[in-house]
Amino acid sequence: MAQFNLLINQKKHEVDVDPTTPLLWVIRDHIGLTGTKFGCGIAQCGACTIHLNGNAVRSCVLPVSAAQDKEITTIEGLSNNNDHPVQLAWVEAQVPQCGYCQSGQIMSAAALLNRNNTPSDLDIDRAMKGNICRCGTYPRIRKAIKSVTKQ
Amino acid sequence: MESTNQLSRRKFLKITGVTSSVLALGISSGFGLVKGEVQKYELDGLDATGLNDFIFIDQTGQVTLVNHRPEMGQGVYQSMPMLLAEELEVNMDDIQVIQAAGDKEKYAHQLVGGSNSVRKSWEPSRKMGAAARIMLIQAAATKWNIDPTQCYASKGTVYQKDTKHSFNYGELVADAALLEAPKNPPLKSSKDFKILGKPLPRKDTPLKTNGEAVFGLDLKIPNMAYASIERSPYFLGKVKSFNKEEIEAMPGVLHVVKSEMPVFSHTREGVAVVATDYYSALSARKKLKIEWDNSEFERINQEEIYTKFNAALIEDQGFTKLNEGDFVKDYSNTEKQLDAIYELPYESHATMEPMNGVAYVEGDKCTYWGSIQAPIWIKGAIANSLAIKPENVTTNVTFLGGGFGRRAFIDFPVEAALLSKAIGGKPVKVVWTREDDNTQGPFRTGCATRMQAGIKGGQLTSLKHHMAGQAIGFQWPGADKTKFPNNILEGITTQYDIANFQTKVSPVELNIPVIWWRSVYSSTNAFPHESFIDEVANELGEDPMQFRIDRLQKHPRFVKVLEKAAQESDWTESRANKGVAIAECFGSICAHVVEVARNTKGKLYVKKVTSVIDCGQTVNSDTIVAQTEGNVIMALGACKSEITFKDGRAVEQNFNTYKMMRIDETPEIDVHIMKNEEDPGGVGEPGLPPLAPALANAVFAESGQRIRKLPFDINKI
Repeated sequence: MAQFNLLINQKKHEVDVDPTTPLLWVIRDHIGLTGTKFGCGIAQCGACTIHLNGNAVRSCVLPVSAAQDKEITTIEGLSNNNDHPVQLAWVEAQVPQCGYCQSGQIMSAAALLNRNNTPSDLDIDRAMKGNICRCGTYPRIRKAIKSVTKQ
Repeated sequence: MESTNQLSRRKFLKITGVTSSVLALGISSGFGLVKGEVQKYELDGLDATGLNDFIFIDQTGQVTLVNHRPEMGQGVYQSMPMLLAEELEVNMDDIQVIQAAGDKEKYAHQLVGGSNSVRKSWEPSRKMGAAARIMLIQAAATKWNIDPTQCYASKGTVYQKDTKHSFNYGELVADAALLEAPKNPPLKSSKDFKILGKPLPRKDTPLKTNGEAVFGLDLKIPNMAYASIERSPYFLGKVKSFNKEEIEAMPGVLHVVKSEMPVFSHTREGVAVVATDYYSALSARKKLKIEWDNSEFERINQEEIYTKFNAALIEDQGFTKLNEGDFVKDYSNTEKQLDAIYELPYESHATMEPMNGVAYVEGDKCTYWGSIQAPIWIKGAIANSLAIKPENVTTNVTFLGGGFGRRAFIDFPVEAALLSKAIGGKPVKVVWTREDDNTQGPFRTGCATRMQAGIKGGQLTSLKHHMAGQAIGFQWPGADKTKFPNNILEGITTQYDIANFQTKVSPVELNIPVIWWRSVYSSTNAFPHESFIDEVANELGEDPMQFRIDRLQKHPRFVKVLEKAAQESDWTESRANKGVAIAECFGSICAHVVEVARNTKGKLYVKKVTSVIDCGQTVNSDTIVAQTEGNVIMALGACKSEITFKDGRAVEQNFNTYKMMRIDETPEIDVHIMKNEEDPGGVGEPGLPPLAPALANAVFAESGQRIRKLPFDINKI
């Protein structure tokens, strides 16, 4: 066990956990933010995607010790009123079905648009292919991301 | 998401805004059945445990729908209020949805499976809305002392015709609640629909874009512990011993106990590590040293499974379902005979949310919370396993992170309930890892199918479809294996006009648990059937589209779907790289035209899918498009990945080996919905079955290579 200072969604948290604990479980079980999901545990599905200093990372394989003193953003911190352009685009395109993977999808899309606000189809495929959606909402994810780039 | 049994009376009043009067209606036979009469519930005695209603309207005009159907992505959170709003004449925003717990007496049927939600609620939901509207109009007419025909309702308000007089529903509730409820009110004609059939935004979308939607995995109740379970890698393995003391001494670990999970006639054993947090449970589980007794288990390998399926086809024993004309006689007298075997793999459901749930056994009571498709069945199964009364079990339903049939099974909730009891009646959340989820099953069965066709005088005169695979129904305790296993030959287009037509199944029993997988046996039967129809058409030198249309003339809905698919896919202009297939599934007909192409490196890929679905009258057209897109993608995944078995164990453990469809492999998908006045059909599954054969037929058209075994690598064609 060890103490870690975490900055999550611009709020400071102090947790006392095993240093190898993946950030995912700290965020979910210790902090209580459950929007970030568990899908595979080996960085293959992207359901656990968060932002670490603005970059999309898979929190299921990131030990809490590597996240100390970095800026962590989860889906809950992406906007105050569900009004991040990506969230608005997701509602407009009616992307979610079961919805379970969508926090991760949205965090990946937001990170993509942060660094490239006019992504090509290939850019979108490359940035989003690490996020699995078993319901098959990919056509709408593409549509939603493109609608943001048009604005 | 709130659930009825979690509501205290105070909280209920707060949520619904109920003050003194409420108009509360239900359906006499239970809401989940096709038929039933409207009935009114009196306000007296209304409390949290006595909620026996399905809609409430309070004095603020707020409408509450107690949604009895689990939401797993298929859209009931939207379709159920749409059915109500249409007849009630309210805005969609005026309806709040509360998720119902499992209750057979109130809802009769809550299982989401077989694409049945809209089909079973189409009439009852609208009847409740119509009855409430009629009562509210009557209440207004009485106040105005006029005939109800002088009034009309719109957007939650009753208006007096040709005047400016109006009452909103809230103002009328107290009076309306005193009236008799019409049992079988007349329903709108579809030409008057204002809401049904429209592409309206789903009510759950905002919750699913900001992390607010609560899934089973997200539940937390006071004093809850977390568990991870190492189950026997072999279906019938038994726990002999394990290092209990050593693991119990690890940080955060509270209990290490043997676990049990009922899977059909068997019990799957394991060792559960219960800890203060999930990661501690997971870490400690990895240190478990378990000695298993695997003597009962048949250590079957992949090749042996298919050897058994193929042997069953040759033996030709089993059950004949369709037997038009005389296949045996005609086939032996034909000039040309086609005879081919097709194979399909086992598949995992791979819902994005792994199996999980929270169980709390307190004395002779049990409360379960989770993402489940069958709250009534699970309630009974938990009661049975704990030997307590069903009325003492509560099954609360959250949003489901995918279901596809897997979450209709009882194994994982019962396992959690038994574990809560085993650790002395404490609340426990059991979370499966992806590896647990992928390797434990139950799976979709693999199968082998022998297709035979006889051609005489340039005509297809005889056809036999013979499937060998595992029968879901034969796994239950006491199953009558002398009877045809229901539904096992679904998804075969027996509507084709073929003089001598036989369908047959040879059930093969293996120690691999199997269960429904999206579209169930249609997902395995349509591939051999519709691929083989293509083989026959090509043998005869006929256009595969026209060949089908010619033989479906007695079934105009099929013909119209194919004609639409031909038109939308520009079939007649160019079919050199296209394939078509059609199947009926759960009351709807769907055809796909798949177009394949080669990229700059010459690799074949799926370029476009044109889909046409006839699901009768529709509720939310955008949901139909979304479900069909999803079916296409899930079916494409099943063409490229499989669960295999080695030494009795499933091999593909996680997404690194069990390959899911990803965005960069997703083709353009163009969905068209037929418009007609037929009864509503299913939507969540019918788009899946015809995809694999349409793809294989497209591959044949482009390359001349016939795909008779799934999965296959399209890039290598």
